[in-house]
Amino acid sequence: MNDILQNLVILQDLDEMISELNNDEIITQQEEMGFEINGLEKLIEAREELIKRIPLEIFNHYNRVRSRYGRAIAPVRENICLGCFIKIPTQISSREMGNQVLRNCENCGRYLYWV
Amino acid sequence: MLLEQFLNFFDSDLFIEDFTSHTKKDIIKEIANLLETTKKIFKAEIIIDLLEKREQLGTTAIGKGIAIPHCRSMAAKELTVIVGLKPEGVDFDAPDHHPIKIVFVIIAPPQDVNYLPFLGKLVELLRDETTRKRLLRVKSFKGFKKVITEFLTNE
Repeated sequence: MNDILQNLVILQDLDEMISELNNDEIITQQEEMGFEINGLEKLIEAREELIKRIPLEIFNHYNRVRSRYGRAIAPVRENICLGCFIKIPTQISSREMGNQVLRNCENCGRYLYWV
Repeated sequence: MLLEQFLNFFDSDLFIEDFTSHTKKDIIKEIANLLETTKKIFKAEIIIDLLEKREQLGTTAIGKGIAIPHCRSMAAKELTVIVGLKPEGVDFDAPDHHPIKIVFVIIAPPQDVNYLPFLGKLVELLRDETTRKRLLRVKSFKGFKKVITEFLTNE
């Protein structure tokens, strides 16, 4: 798997985890279920470390697309970008092949991840 | 959440009768590797990284021998549940300091609507003392499913 793509997927998941921590309803639900939620600073530090492993130009594109659509990476199934539901023109026959190279959807610009 | 719908999330292929690992960190790796080999996810490292980060946020051990590591990840195609047993117990930084003997791992894609209802139902089930004690003694998937089914049908 492409290393940058792997880091982008982790970054997006981490960003979603951090944004959930700003939702009081979710925090209350988690605490009522018995889970401890007290390490937000550690997550933010982990995010800073992760960003260092992503080239600046790609990170900037990630931020632009994320601010536009909410998520900057879209899963792909059967060669369809599940961000905008456009067929990917490139012939990709497997998840292995799809995730070897960092690709953008030509329509929406999201980075593509074959699930 | 309906009884059948809840039960269907448990899969014998995703049931570990006895973790070979002996530490929290290695158990997380063992789980992620199982997810990769069963093709539930593409790359184990993504889930390892995320579950470790989730633990940094606060332990997912809820005490009394049980841990529920959980996170949303776009690496998951669908809500996936793994259950693993560690009869000898393992340190999971539990608030009551008890070793963990059952681990429930829940991974769901970002948009999955069943994630929180499933988690809530599972916690409710585990709060039932009789069910929890029975679960801590199960040795197989068949026995595990029997205990869960009996709790749900008697509710």
